[in-house]
Amino acid sequence: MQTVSNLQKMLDEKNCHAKSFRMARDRLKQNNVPNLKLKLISDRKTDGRIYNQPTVSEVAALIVGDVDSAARRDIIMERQSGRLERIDEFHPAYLAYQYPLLFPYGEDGYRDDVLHRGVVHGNISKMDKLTIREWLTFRLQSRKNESMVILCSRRLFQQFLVDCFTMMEADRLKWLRKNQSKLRVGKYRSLTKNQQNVNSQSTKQGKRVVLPSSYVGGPRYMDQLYFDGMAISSSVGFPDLFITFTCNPNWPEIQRFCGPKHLKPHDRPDIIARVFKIKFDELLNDLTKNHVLGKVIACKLIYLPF
Amino acid sequence: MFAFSSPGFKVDKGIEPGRGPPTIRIQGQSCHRMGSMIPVAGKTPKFAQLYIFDTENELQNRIQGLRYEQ
Repeated sequence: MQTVSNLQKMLDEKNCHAKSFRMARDRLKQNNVPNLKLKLISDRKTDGRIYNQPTVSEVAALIVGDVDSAARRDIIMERQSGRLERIDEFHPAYLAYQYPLLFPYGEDGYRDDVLHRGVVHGNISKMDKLTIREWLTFRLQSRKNESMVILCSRRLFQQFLVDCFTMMEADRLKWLRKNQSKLRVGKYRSLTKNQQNVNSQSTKQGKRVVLPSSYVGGPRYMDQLYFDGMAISSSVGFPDLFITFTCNPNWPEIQRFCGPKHLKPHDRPDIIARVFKIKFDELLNDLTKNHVLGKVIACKLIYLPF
Repeated sequence: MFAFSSPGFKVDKGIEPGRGPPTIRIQGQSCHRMGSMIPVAGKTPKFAQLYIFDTENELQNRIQGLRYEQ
């Protein structure tokens, strides 16, 4: 009870989103305006590369009457309605709304118009922009001059990670969906033919989206791995060794890191993944370069994390 | 408890709690959603509504919301 009220006080003082909702509360109390709306603004004027604290006037606006100028990603909060409105993944406050304790000041999340360092404004190509993956990996590093709020929050951190991954995945899938013609999906002709035979009510049928083999985890990706494996087998013979390499959370490297911070190994999946990757690379190095088990003719990797 | 938005997942309930780290598996597309400023009559305030509606009993509402979810 005490903790809750303390945290509450902290958010009220520091978090700009909490402040903006409080502003709405005060306005609702003052006078009974029938159609008051809260607009949660997504466009920012400040430079996204610098740690700028968003201010209340920048993140929200109270509007009486109809909203006329709304950008694509703005959220309009109605006064009273039963339905839930979806937040765009690229609303800059997407993560700050969901995890106020991880972003106590209401810091902005990823924005899609941030440029890399050293890029001059003017002719900007796609490669000069920050991707969501880059932003997330930047956030997930521990730094000496920054407190490790996100990294030490244990279960909330895990939820945060899953959420971040789904954000990234949603972005990739969106790109694939929008660029089907670029991916030359049309050449999968037999597939579309099959479809035409079956369908009788074409209006009810959705549009088929084909995931290319570069989409990790998709069926075409798996098929490709399988075909590669079979091709190797047919040219150099069947494999002699089938090696399974698993991760042990009691590895001294992981324990050494998590012990002093009173964290369980599963609270830091990033560290586990990193240690595993290092060890895995070493194993491969031993086998293929150092020839611990004799000369290796062919080696096929099937990498299945977790 | 303090979040302003509501996460929407399809949770896979087929996972048995066993040894090892706690697991929650979700399927399909996830999203975050946000409701209106005042809850529908008869419903308890949730998420951002906690910051706006019925703030005299805010602490109670927050703790109650957590218990209900469990």
